[in-house]
Amino acid sequence: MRLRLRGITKQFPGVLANDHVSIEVDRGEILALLGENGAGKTTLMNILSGLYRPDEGEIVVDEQIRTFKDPAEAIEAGIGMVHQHFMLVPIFDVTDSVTLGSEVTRGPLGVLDRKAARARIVELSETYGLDVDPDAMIEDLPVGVRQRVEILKALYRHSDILVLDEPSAVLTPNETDELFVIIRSLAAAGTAVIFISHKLNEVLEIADRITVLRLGRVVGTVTPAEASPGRLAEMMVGRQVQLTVDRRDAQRGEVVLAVQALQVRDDRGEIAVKHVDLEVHAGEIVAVAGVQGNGQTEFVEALTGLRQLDAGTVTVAGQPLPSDPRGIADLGVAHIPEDRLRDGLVRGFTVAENYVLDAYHREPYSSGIRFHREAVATAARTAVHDFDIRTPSITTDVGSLSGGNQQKVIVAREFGRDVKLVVASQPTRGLDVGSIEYIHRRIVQQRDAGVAILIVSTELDEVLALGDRVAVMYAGEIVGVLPAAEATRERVGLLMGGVR
Amino acid sequence: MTARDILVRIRDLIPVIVLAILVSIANGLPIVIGGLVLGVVFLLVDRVPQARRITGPLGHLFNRLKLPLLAILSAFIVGGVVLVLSDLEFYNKLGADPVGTLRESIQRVGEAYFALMKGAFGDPGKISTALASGDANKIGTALRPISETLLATTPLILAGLAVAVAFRSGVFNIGAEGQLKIGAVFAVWAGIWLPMPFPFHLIVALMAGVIGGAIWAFIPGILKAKTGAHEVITTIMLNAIAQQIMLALLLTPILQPEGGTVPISRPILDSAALPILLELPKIRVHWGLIIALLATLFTSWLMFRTTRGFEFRAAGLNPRAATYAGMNAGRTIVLAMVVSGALAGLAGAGEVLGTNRYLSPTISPGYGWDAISLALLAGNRPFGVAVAALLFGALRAGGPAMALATGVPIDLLAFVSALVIMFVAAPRLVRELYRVRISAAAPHTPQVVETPT
Amino acid sequence: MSSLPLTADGPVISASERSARNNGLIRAASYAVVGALELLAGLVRVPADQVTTYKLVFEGAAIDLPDLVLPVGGTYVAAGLVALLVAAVQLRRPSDPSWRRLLAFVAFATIFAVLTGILGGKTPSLVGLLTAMISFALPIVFAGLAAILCERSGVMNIGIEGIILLGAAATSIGGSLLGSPYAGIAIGVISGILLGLLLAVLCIRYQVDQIIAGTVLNLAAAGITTFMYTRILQVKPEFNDPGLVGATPIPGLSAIPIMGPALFNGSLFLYVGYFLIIAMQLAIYRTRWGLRLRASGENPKAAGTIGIDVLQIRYRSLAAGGAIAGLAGAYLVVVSTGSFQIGMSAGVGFIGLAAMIFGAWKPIGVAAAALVFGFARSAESRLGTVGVDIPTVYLSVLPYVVTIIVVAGLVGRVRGPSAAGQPYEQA
Repeated sequence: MRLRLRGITKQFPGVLANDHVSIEVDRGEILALLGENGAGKTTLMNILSGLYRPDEGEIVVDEQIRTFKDPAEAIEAGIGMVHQHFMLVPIFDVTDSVTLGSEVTRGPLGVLDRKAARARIVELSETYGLDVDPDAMIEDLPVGVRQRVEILKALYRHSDILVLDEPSAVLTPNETDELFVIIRSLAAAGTAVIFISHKLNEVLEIADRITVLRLGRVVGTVTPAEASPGRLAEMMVGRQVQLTVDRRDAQRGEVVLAVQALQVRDDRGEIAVKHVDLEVHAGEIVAVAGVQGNGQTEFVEALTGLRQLDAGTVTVAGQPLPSDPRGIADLGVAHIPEDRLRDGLVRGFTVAENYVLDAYHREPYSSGIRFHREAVATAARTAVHDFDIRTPSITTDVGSLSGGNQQKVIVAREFGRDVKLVVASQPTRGLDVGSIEYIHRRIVQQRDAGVAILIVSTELDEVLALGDRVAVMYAGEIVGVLPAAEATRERVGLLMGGVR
Repeated sequence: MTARDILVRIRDLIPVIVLAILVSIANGLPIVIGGLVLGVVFLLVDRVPQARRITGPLGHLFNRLKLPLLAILSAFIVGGVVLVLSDLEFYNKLGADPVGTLRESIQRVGEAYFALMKGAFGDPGKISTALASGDANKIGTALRPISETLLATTPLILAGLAVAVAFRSGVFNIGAEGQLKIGAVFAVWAGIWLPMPFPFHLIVALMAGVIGGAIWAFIPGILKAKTGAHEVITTIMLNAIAQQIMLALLLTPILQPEGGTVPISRPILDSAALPILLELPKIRVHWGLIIALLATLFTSWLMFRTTRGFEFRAAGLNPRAATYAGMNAGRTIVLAMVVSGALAGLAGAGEVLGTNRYLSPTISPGYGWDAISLALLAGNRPFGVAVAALLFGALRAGGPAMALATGVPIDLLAFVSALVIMFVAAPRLVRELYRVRISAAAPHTPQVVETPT
Repeated sequence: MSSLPLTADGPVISASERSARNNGLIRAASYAVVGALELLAGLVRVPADQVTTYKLVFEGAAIDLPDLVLPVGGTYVAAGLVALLVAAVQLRRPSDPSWRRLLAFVAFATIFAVLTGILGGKTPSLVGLLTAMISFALPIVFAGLAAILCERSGVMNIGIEGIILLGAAATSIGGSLLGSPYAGIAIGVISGILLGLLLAVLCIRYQVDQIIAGTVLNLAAAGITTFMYTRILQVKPEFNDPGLVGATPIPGLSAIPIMGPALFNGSLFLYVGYFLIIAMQLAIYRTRWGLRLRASGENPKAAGTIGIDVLQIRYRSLAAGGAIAGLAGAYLVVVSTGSFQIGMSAGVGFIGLAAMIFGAWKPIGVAAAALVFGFARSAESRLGTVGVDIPTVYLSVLPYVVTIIVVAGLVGRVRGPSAAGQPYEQA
């Protein structure tokens, strides 16, 4: 049993996700796919599991070229995928969840043979050491157990190739150890395993071979013996030309943002931010690096009023953080959200209307119930000019602007206020080079004016270019804070991969 | 040009060709020919490459009107087909003389629609002669059609505004029918039992209607805000409950005249009646129309020139970003529903204080449902609603005239107006049928998000 | 049960569990209040000697039972005690998932008490009441089952009312043209299938909003059936005379006292109804088809990634739901009235939706809910002939009010299929 992906290429609008990627894995072998965000790992696996079709290249299973029209065909070919975000129905029990789509039935009417299904699942879990209660309801199960159900789904279908997409992202260290035991026993039984991750230690521990992807291309394939964490980090983040941003040294002032022992839960009730201590002073930029999924999103949501704090305290300029977004904004906090179209802008509103989204209820835009369109228009025109927002007019629907200009609208709005603290999450995601440069310049400008800036970004280049201090978030904690001078690519890369 | 290109172009022209054939078969009636020719011209214009580059307000209007006009045209065509196929004589005659029968059938359809138009707007010839003669009777009779249209338009504008406000604010209020009825109940009660001099009595009675409708809409609003209850279900249920309450109250002494057994209320006092706009015989259109037009202005002002309106629109377009910008989602939902219900209640009040001066079970021949159609047709825009309401009012008013002149039951128009919504709500379908460029984005209906309880 | 950690003070109760408990307490309090009112009515307000005599005899009964003489006051007291008992049960176990059954119980007892009270001094036929209850409940059952099929697959179908109406018209015309009511039924069912498919095409292929599509269907159905009636059926009444389908009593069972005639002396629709309820209940929870159906409605993405064709399931469910709705329409024509009347669906489609919600999206639940609603309607019609108005309103709005209460989750967590109402994009 041998799987080869040859020359896989996949283009999305604006992004070449996979650029002639070739990997191969044998039965009984554990191959790790290492890379940071945007490296193309998930796209590649989606192609392998039949969700996407490649523009170029081929999938070869046991010397036979296969094309998959839909996931069913990939499953039939023996490929089992455990997605990062589980594909489970909360109100089903384990047995139904595992057998869905390949149910065990009795008779011509398709009556479910639950006893037989249950027996098979018990058999599988014993064989592979996957301890699971076949009658438990999915919604009652903790995350680690749900993952076992996903693995069982693949095993139940006699998958010869098991793909695990960032499996340890949702597990505790204990659960991760258990997972590794399971993976090794699967490999020993002859399954080929592809293990996708950004965590260097894990990859070194579990893999037989490691293929590193960066920006859609294969950088190289090494064995754990040949590779050190440092070498892997270097391959993962590369030695590109740093985006240099002209800036003087920071003039630090008082502490503006003080975060202590912060704990935040995610939508599922699991702890996403375990324990964060962080301070941001006026006049400095603290840039938080880290691969997506280590708690950054929940961290920012807690700071900006979209999520409750589970434990810990946050103060802004000495005041405790209010619980509602408007209160936080009134305290002088500006927020550039991660998902600009979902959280920061109202598509369907004009540029002008979006510009006053935060202050529409105050003078000079409103007095009492009356809304002053002319005042809004004037202010918007000034902003469009000052921030060089390319738009046919201020009455254009903000949805028809390019990403860069949309972001500029948000920046114009947020920076146009009297701010003490800026929290920017992925501020230049999906933007063209010109816009990136512009936004970076504006951020530095704010910093020089004495504003405290906290940037959370998965783009290492951005973090290194902007951060006066660079922090790294991993598994819900800040695992290191380095001054700019000490923040080299290699050191930060290691921290991002979980190596202290 | 490959063979494929040629085939695509031929396919593009099919709808135009079909319409042209219909024109050639049709027999003489100006309205039919006129309509079809317009259709042909319209489609051809749309295909001309230069047409694509028309920008500016005229081009903008052209683009916005494409879908509604084509939807209306399609609905009427389907209605015509139904009309032809439901004529039992058609099948008998078809065998003998196919072309002639078809021609005759199309002519009959044209006659029906023509009678509809005359019933809705009147005969221009008759109007000018009547005006020239100066005879009040003649003028009244000549202007009656258009006045009946305006009479029906009045509640449609108000109910349409109600639905449009709600939809724009992200609330799927399909309870306008019920809110209208409760408003009518409140208004008629005030009109009967609160004697006061005119105009105070009228104002109080109108306010009562507004309050009634607002209360009826407040219920689903607060339920959604506090418990996440699906407003489509709650408003449908409340529609049914409103109907029962209205019927029951009509049989109780609260509304019944002495010794009455029929479910019709006693008449309101004169001091609560909406005055007629034009003192001419046979003209019934009343001040409710003015109120409706004022309400249009009010709604436009509310949605675009007030802070609340800003919040409504933001919540309707992106509730998450709106909450994030500090707006209180629950309060917005409730307020939007209350405003919506108030407008619908006002529609009911107008009917009971102006058109009828009493309450009966036929107070609303489905105005609340038409309101949904016309709000969608108008893209939830206040002034568009007024125009669309005129169209639906014409259908309501012209129906009886059409039935009288040609024997076509008015329910055909209910069918046609349902089809109009369907086409408006399925732009992709219209695009495929006519091969015109229309944005495939469906009209903005609120995305109902189930909030887990 | 929950995945939240244990703290030193005991298990952390999740927010949803807390709200379920609160809802249970609210329910218990409501039942207690209702029970107290009924006790009050029974003991204090009702004249002590007032009785209602329920006749239990019917033709062909196995045993001739004597009349059931119920003191009105006593009935109220009994109902009150039932409500209080249920309140106690609910208090002890507030988050018990079978709260709907308890609610149905209380509703039934209350309706019966009110009915007995209003009919004080008269001699109604209990058998007649029960038979009416079943015959009102049957179309509601069909409508509810159709709604379940559609919604479980992920499509919210509020156009069932329209399909029923058009199915009725089709049955009548088809049966008249083809000369037999059974042929008419077939035509009605076929028309239901076609309409269901139409709805599916509109919602899936053309991405029309599901609510709008359903509303359009209802309005168009009302328009075109009335149009057809006026234009064709009134002129040619022979097109509106498909014939009636009579009752087929099951020998032996139909002679069971009290319940026999109602349950076992119905038309074939009744027996089809029984079959559908049981078949669907088993199919949804015990077959492969049912599992995939539920997956499509709860988490279509999960189903899609495992290779299930969600769109095909939705098309088929809408067609099947349409078929059952068409059957409901056929029932109205060939059993109840014998011909098509304008607007004869009279909201049955919407009550069916209410039954689906009240019945927790389960066929058995729909049947129970339909019985409660059917009982209310039969009581209402009985009272109508006696000429009472205000209480009649209470009975006629009962299904709707109950649905609102259930939907608002005020009295319990309501969870429909999670993906219902949202279009599904297949990659």
